[in-house]
Formats: sequence, structure tokens, C-alpha cells
Amino acid sequence: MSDGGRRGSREASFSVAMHNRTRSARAAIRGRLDTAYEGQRPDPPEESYLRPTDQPVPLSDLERFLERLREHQVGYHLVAGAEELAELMANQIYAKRGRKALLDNRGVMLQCRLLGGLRQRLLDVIVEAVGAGLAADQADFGITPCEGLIAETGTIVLAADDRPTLQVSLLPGRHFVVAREAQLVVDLATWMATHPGNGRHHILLSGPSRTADIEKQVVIGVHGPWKVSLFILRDGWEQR
Amino acid sequence: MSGLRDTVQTKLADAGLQEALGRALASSNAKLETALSELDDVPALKDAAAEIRRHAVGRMWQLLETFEARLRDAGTTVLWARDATDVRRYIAEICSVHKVSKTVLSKTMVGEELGLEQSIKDAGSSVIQSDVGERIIQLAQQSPSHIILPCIHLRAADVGKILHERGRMPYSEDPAELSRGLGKSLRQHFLGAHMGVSGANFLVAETGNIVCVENEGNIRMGYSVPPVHVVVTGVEKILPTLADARLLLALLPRLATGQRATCYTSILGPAPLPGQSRYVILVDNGRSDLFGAGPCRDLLHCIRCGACLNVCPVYQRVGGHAYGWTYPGPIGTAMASMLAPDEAVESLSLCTLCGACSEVCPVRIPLDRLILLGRATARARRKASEVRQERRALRWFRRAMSGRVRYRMSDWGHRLGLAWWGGRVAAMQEKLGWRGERAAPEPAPQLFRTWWSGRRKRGDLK
Repeated sequence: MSDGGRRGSREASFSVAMHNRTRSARAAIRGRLDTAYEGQRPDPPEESYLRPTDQPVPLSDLERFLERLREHQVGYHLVAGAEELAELMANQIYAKRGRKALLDNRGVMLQCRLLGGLRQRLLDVIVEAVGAGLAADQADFGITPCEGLIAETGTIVLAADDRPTLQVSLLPGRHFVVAREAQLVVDLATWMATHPGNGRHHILLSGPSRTADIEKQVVIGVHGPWKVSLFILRDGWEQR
Repeated sequence: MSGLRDTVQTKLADAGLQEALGRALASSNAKLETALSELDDVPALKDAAAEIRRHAVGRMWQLLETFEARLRDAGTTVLWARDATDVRRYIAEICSVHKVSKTVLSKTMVGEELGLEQSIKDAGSSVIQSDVGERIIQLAQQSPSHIILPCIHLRAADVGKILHERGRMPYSEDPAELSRGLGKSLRQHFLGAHMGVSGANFLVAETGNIVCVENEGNIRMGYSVPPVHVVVTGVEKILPTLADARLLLALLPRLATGQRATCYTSILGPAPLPGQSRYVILVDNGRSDLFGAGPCRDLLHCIRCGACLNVCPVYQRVGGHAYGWTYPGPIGTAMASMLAPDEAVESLSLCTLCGACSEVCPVRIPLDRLILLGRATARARRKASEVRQERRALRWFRRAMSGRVRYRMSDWGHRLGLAWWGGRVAAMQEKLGWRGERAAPEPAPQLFRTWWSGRRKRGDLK
């Protein structure tokens, strides 16, 4: 029997064993829960729970969001257009002596032609899009778009559909996020209402990786990036 | 009971433990107050959270079926586990099929409960705890002493020593240096891992989402890098909708770490990532017993924020290891009294019934009442002779207290007894260990009733 054939038969027996065990466990758990229901039937489900109401806030959403970013130690830049974005980002990469930058080249990144803009300005730096060969753990900078900004908690919403894309915002030491001002919403409830579950993987990011496991002292940058910077394209950026 | 007393004495006398706990818990509780002060109506929010959990647990089976269907349709393998044995078998089979020899494990209390680390080792894979606190505990060959902060009982100097001796790192007492050093050494393990294992904070029935909350990024590493991802989680984590998770996410980080939001909240879709195999193991392990145990069902509402530990005056002094069970503190005591009553008999004494835990709980679990219930259950399991003696003593006490004359006589009898046999009583108390923590107060020179009637006669009272 070939290796492939042996592997195939192993997987088949594995599936049967797993299937039998999980089926009997499922039935047992269901049986126990059903017995408990008989003894003490739960209240009928109510559809309308008490929900907290969104309170009015003294600051505008953007000001509040920027204040939260400062508290989370997230850097930010308000930029007027694509040219300014590429210039500013290139300067930052150059100033930090970055050698390799990896881009998740989707959405607003494509609209800005950021990949080309950075390559033009950073001749000594390898700038690549995900999937072109540069591994995320080899890059100094990971650059991603985002799916939303939440003012209440100073949160950046990232989305990804595969492992390489997820790794861009995780493995490099510095993470740059590009957002549009129009993506800012008041709170998570509003964001969820406008982005119904589409099966994608989302990450709500509220600051760089940190730990306080030793004596509750906060240490920035443990597993994920130690520096997160957000570049917000102001409204009307397409015209500039 | 003497075993518990010795443990407590040892913990109280451990200056390092007292320093570590004092520093960490003072910081946690200060942050908690600040974080909650930002919310307008905390009681209403807690009521809503409690209601959500009550409904979710109340119709747990239906929600679990929906969740299972969502995941299966999307290509994720869902496995059901009655207990640790089932989980061990699944892990062994997953490791065998995917030829797993290197695993990274993210902090999960269900994993602690099931001995997951050992199960992975038994399946022939190396296993590295990827959370900084858990990695320290793994190197120290200890068990976690807190739900959120596993090495809260260690000072930076202790950690430095452990990492120097077992983690091959230069000795340091600087938390930043130690944490970053660990992070750096763990990076290689992440990149070479074949399998990532994590827990989950919430499971969403409607959309099939799995929600994981963290600060370090190790859970993200665990599902983003290795080709196999296994989620091991309790069946009670189920919620009807993502909107319910949103409300709980407003409370969980605030209560757990005093943050508005944790650095990373992953909302995983129901489908595995392309090129990845994902298994979700739904674990019962006694939860269905709690479901049918009347008021104890409330324990299934817990969202594992750990706030009840931080505010508990007993935990603050003795730490988590004194409880001798996987889950320490008030929530652990209450759960143990139902799930492992023999092991919980002693730890039930580690509660003053002050109610601080119930007050702080974001989902309104009446922990003090459940511990009291646990004590009643434990009492019912004691020897009939012990119970008879206790009952007889209490009957005498009730008689003495329930009549004016009898009360006076008992009072005078008590005084005379102390005057005549005071030395013997003190010796007996000494022998029983009653005087270990505090001295017995001397009787007042005058009875309260005598003092009261004297004031009345003098006309001090109008």
C-alpha cells in the first residue's frame, strides 16, 4: 500500500472511532440535560433582554477615539490623502531602519496604491504584499487595512480570511493600520449592526500586545507587535 | 481540618506570598474601581448580563445544537466530551492523524480542570504553555493560583530565579526583562508548532462564532500559525447571539483586568482557516450535574473574570493554592462543593460569608449563599455521631438563650466557670488551637443587663 493509501485508511478508522465516541458522549450529555429539564424546566426564553443604552458623550467621536488610542499607547496620524500617507509611512519605516515590510494589500490599501507608493520611496527596503514570498515573521513592519474603528473603547477592527493575512498584524514587531475616517462608529453595537456576521475572522484590537503577569506590572510587546500605529485618512481623501 | 489549618498558617507566614498577593491585588482592585466608574449604570448592566447568562444556560442544549450545526456546515469538526477521558482520547487521535509532535497551549482553565497538558504529552507531543504566567508556572512545575493571573503568588525575584534555573535565562528581577525574554523564547515554539490548543470565552449559537479574549497575543498565535487548531471549552460558554457577547464583553475585561477592552478580542468564524484543521471539543465534565442541581445551576453563569478572587478577604491572605482545587477562591469553593464534595470539605471553611464575591460578580451569582449551601450539603455527609453531638450542643445553646432567667443563669454560670476553671479552659482552648490566631477576650467587669439597668436607675436614659 502506498503512503497516501495508508494515510487514507488511517483517517477513515480515525473518523469512525471519533464519530462513535462523540456520538455516545453527545447522547449522554443530552440525556443528562433532558433529565434536569424534567426536574426543573427552565423559564421560557425571552426575546428582549434589558440592554444598556448608549450614553451621550461630551467629546466628539473622533476626539474620544483619539484619546482612547493615546491611553492604549497606540500612535496615530491623521492624513489628508494617499500621497501624504505613503510619504509619512515611508518616513517612519526609514526612521526605524526597517528592512522588510509586508502588506495586506486589500481595500483601501489598493485604492491608495500604497504598495507602489512605498516601493517608490523605500528603495533599500523590501516591500511585498502577502503571498509574494516574504514570511510574516521575517518582516519588521506589518501593514494592514481595517474593518472599523470604535470610539467608545478605542478599538480597531481587523478582519482576515486566511493564516498569512492574520499573521501580518501579529508577527512583525511593528504594525501599521490604515483606516478611513468614515469607518469610525460610536460603539461595538453600532459596528455589529452595520457588519452582520459574514463568517469572517475578526480581531478587535485595543493596543499593542501586553502582559501584567509578573507583579501586575504592565509590559508592552510580548508575543504580538510592541508598536501599533494607525493612519486615518480624513474624509475627502480621494480628492487629494 | 488540621491539614487546612497548617496550610493556612504556612501561607500566612510566607512573607513572599503576602508581598506578592498584596501588591498584585491592590493594583487589580484599584483598576477595577476606575474601570467600573466609567460605566453609567453598573447594576443595570450586571442585571442584563445575569439575564443573558440565565437564558443561555436555561436553553443550553438547543443553543449547543444550533452552534454544532453552524460549525459542521462550515467544515469544523465538533466533538463532545463527557469527561477528561474522552478529551484524552480525542487529543490522542488528533495528534496521531496530524502527526503532531509540537503543541502550543494557551491558558485555559478547562484545560487545567481536565489535565490537558498531560493528555497532550501522553499523545506523544511536546507541549509548551504559551501564556507568560502559565509558562512560568509550567517551568516551576506548579499549578496556577488564580483564574486570570496564574503566577500571582510569585514575586519578580521568584520568577527570575525560576527562569534562570529552568528557563535558561539570565537572572533578573525586572518584570519587563523577564516577560520579554519569555516572549522571545516562546516565539520559536509558535513558529514550529504543529498544533495550537486554546479555550474560548464565549460560543455564539446564531453565527457559530468562537470568542477569545486576551492581552498577550498567544491565543492569536495559537490559531494563526499552526496548521491544526483545537478549541477545548465547557458547554456552558454558549450564548444565543453576538449581541449578547457584546454586552458581556463590556463587563468581562473591566472585572478581570480593569481594562475597557482587552488588547485582542478574537471573533473566530465558524469555518476553519484555509489549509487548517479545526476541532472544537465541547466538554461536560460535571456541568450537566450542576445544571440539574437547583440553585447551583447559577454557577454555570460564571464568565471566569476572577473578580470574586480579587475581592475575597480570605483569598487576599492565603492565595489560590490553599484551596487545593483547580478553581480557587469563592467560585472554586462553590463549584468544588458540588462537583467534588469530598475534596471541598476543607476549603468550604475558607469563606467568611462576607458576600463581597456576590456583590462584585458581573452575572450576579450568589456565591456566598451557594457556599453556605455547600456547607449544609457537607454537613449532611458527615458521620451521624458528629452531627448528633453538634445538634445536642446547639439544643442546649438554644435553650439557654431563649428564656430570660435561663439566659441570666447561663451568663453567671459562664463567669463563675471562668473564675473557677479559667486556667483549665484556657489550656483546653490552647489544645484545640482556638488561641492560635487571637487571644480570648476577658469578660467585661459588669454584665450588659446590669449596666443597662444602672443607667436607667440613674436617669441617664429618657
